[in-house]
Amino acid sequence: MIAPFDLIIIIFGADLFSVMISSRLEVYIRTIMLQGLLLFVAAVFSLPGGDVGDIILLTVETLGFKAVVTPWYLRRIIRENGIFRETEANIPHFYSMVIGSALFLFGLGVSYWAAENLAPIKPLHFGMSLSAILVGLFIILARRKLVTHVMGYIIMENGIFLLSLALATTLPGIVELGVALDLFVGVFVFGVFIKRIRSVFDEDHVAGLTDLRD
Amino acid sequence: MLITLLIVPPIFAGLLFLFPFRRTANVALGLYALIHIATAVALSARHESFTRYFAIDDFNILFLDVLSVVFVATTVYLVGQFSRANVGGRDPRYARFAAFLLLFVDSMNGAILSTHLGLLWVFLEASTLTSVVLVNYNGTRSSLEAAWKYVFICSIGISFAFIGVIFLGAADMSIRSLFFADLNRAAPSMSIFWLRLSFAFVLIGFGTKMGLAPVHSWLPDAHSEGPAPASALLSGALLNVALFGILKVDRILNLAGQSGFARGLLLVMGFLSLFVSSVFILSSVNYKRMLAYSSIEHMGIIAIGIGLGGLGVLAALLHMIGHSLSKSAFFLTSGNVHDLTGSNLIESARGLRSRHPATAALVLACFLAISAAPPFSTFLSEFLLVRALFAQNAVLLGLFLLLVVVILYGMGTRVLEISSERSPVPTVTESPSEHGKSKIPTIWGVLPQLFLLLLAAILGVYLPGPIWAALHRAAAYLGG
Repeated sequence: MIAPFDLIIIIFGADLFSVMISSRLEVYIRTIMLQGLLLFVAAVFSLPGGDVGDIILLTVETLGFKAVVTPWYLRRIIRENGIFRETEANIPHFYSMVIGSALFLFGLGVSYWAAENLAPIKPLHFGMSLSAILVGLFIILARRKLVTHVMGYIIMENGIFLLSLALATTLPGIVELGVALDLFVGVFVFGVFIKRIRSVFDEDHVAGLTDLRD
Repeated sequence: MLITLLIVPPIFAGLLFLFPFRRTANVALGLYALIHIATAVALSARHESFTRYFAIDDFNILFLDVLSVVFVATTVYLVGQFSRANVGGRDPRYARFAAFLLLFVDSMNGAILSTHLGLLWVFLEASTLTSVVLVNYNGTRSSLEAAWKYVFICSIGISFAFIGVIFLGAADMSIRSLFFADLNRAAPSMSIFWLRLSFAFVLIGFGTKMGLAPVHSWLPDAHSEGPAPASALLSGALLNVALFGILKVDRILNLAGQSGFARGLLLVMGFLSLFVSSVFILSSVNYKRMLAYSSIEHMGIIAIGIGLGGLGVLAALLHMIGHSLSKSAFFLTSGNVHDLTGSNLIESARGLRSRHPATAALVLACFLAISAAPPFSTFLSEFLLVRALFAQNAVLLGLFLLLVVVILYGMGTRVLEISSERSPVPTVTESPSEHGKSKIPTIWGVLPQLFLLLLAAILGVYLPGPIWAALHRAAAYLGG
């Protein structure tokens, strides 16, 4: 019998595969949306007797921010710019799938190998978070559009958020810090920057950002 | 005191958004620089614990003092020299620059003062967000590119540091707190597995901000694309604050008896930084990028010093001070060079001596100060470092000297091209600025650097007793 919490984590991990194979940015957005919903459920499970303030904050963060506002904003960006596909990725999508699966295996493998050391965090929980972080980093490296980079960053951040939930009850404040990371980076910086870069460069490829090199 | 360090800058910045004039910006900056240095001096004499979250102790006072000196010199340059390029009256761009500069200093104050790991992390993140505006001041294609790389790569770094914080929380489930005092107390009983993993992530995360190789790639872009005063603060102050974050976590490992692990990682990243900077300095054609790579070099030297432990820690802290003083002087001088030649290329800066002798002399003096020539304090610190290396590992000593000499050669030939050669063909002479005002550096474009270099020389020749004692106390705090 699988515990409900484990099931959520497994869905969270399985969903990562869809971003690895797809070139359609809509799929990325749906994944990010689903991750937001799953993180909300996971947060509810992680905070059994949390105080009201915590619960409100987490609901706003996961359900409101991660599952609604971020996908909405990303969708607006891709609509306005008319980019729906990640073409000419640095690494072809088939190989992305292979490498992504390897990262996934690595994440889970490490956590089971170190299982006895992981005392406060469950191996499955740790492994899935690690996989999400690695897949997010991989997307940043393998894709070329700025918008996709931001999506990779968000996936990585969701992995970190999942990881921080493991300590939600024992380390007060840790989840709030994760929220701060999200707000700082997600809204202000990336939102503002993509607009400015587009207006100056007339393109949203990283390929345009190559004036500075040695 | 806490009010002057944390509350006043946002108020001033808010006023600047309401009154975006060049004069108000200069008054706010000048006034706050005075307040900052007065506060730093007062706190040096008497350490103070403000609240549970903010305190001054033997260790962080060193970082606050360095920040204060660099900030004051930068402000004098900014108000006296840099702002001349802008016409008087309403100037929202410059006012915004000044406002974010104040917020930037505020975030660094907060990071230095905080007694809580989470708070330190938040302030470090804030320092990226506030300084990115400074990098993008010119609003050109390349400065926007540099700003984007800066904010994106440092955000990934800061996320890694956050993973490190989570792991540190997992290392001991009983303390339920991220206050350094609690973490230090619980250190001996922490889980070694989590502690090591945590340090590795914090080192990569804050190391990104500190500019250690292999996670340094944003630094040459950001430091070279920002205007000179911004570069001076980024290099002379912000890198130290990132180092501060690493050292606070390093101390927990020392207390847990895991110093060997931390030192190994620091040594690897330190030597890698030296190697990377030597390669790029040898092939640099842009003097500001060369200075940025030199910052990576010196952060590497500091990491090596911390990694050696003992005498090396003392050398590293002294080196940090020497680097901040001379590198911020160098970056401010690069602003003069840019004003005179209208370019950041070494090629176009050749033969500066015939155009502006004072700036050419400053370039040479800054080079001597940064490359550990006596009488500057970097000589003393690198001498101590070599002694520490000699006592531990002759192979590492050889490698260190080789890399430093390569860097010295690479920078030396380029600096001599700028400062000593007579201009072969008189290229563009005084290029008038967009506003028609001449950009020849005034006395205010020379004095701040002289002040910084003088300070570096004084520390090198005669280290006053109280400063020496403060350095020893700080090194002892780290367990050196």
